Amino acid sequence: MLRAFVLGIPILIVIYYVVIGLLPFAQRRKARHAATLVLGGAAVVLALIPLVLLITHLVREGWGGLSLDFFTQDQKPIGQTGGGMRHAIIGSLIIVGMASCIGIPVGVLAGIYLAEVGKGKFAATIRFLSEVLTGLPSIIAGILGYTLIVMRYNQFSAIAGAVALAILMIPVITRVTEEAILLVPKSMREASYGLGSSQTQTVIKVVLPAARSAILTGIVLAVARVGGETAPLLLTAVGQSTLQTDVTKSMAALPLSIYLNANQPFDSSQQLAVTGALFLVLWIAFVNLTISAIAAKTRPRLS
Amino acid sequence: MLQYSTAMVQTVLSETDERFELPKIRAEKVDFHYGSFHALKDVNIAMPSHRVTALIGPSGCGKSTFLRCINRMNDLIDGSKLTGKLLVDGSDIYAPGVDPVALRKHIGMVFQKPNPFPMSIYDNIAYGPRIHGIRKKAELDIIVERCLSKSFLWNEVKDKLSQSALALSGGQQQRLCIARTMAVDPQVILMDEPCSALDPVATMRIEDLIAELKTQFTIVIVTHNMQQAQRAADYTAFFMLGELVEFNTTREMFLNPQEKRTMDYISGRFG
Repeated sequence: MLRAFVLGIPILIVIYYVVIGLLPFAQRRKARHAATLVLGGAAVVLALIPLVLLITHLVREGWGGLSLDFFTQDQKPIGQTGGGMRHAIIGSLIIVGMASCIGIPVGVLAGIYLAEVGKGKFAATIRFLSEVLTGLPSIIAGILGYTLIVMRYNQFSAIAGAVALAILMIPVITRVTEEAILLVPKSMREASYGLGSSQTQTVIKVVLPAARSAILTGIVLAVARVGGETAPLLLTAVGQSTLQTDVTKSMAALPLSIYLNANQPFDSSQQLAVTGALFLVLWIAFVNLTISAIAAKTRPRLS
Repeated sequence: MLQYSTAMVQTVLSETDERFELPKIRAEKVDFHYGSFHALKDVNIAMPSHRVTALIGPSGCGKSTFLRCINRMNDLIDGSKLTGKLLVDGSDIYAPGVDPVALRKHIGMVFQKPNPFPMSIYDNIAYGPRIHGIRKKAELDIIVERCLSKSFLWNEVKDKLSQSALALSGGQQQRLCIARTMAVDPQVILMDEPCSALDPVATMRIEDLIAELKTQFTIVIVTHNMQQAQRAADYTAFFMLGELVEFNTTREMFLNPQEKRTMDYISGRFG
């Protein structure tokens, strides 16, 4: 498979140039257009194959497990059949919710600062760092949460997990917010300044509303991304097999429970894991669709 | 015939009034730099109150820069610097302690491309008053109706005040922007080529509006269009390469220019 791929691409390129070269000049443009269409289409299909395989697998294997028990019961002791993911769903909501409470305000405000005020070396450094941080391996965020909070209090906790996830969210939201704000036309700002409004008034009343849908989309993407993160939680929230709502204790989360259950040799654990994965995918898709529908409905046209 | 005589009366009026007119805006030895670029050189001018003054000249001559100095819009550009005095009603707007944000409430601006906010027509007009602390709906309603009527837009939009301002035509948008400027009750309205993005019919309506507005405001308008300067302005200033070449009543300027450069420009020998 790999060998076909490695050999196939240069061969395709050679064939392409030979065929184009053989054609009379007048037909080359159309031939190139056709070749681009075919190659582009093929690339799209290739990219979609793993996605479709994944989703069909999840639906086929996991759909049967989506019962009332899945939402209302906690994990059963290892080896027993049945049980559900209530503890993990609630845990995920709490941890991601706390992470959002930290990450969204910090990220959005930092983005506003960079776009509106940030000039000079300080801002350039922040901008560069947040760009680098968007590629931070998520386990590093987990280690940071571990060092900052778990080690200090000698206790795995949901708060540590939330901090780790917030660290992953902030640079993404910062970049998206800055870019969305910079896309608001200068004429809009000038109109506002021309009426005697201050910079703060201009940002709050004109710039942010105009950039709102792009910022919202970025926030949703960031939240969805951390909602599926496992690595940072392994070192911070660790996981729990029962419902835990005390945020200073270790807490279950969906991705963690999926990981832990998938490692068990029991059918019923693996069923829980695959159903949990399906639920996570459905949940993120649902949130994405809802927010983009809201954003589309309230999006102001800019010109 | 009737139109001709009105024009005559107006000309006579503005020429007799001239002696008594107080300068609203006065520049004394104004030099302006963008970084190392010397954009305005020793500009001295006195623009009368409640009159329309046109700034003309070839592209890059500094006329828009000068206009943007009057409400300190150039402050937003890094590395810009003004020396000399720019007086409005006798007080220097570049003196230390003058707040440009407060200044811009009194000196409104209309831009080249209509730039309504992406909000409803009503909210566009109400934006300025709200910024300046008017919250009562009844009060805002009055302001919105008054400003839209003054810009001859009320009859066209009174049934769709809650619709997006961006659905209006270009000419309507520009009249909306003028109405929005009036809503904060400025004394001076600066217009930066307000008709350059509009068709001739919409341009005519804006010019009618300008003629109407000068009873209440002092207007400074930058234009590329010399016919427009002749139609709309009482006074004309001709800029070239950052210098103010000539300033006079529009009539004098176009009939009897004092400087050869002015003559060359208005007769279309260059530019």
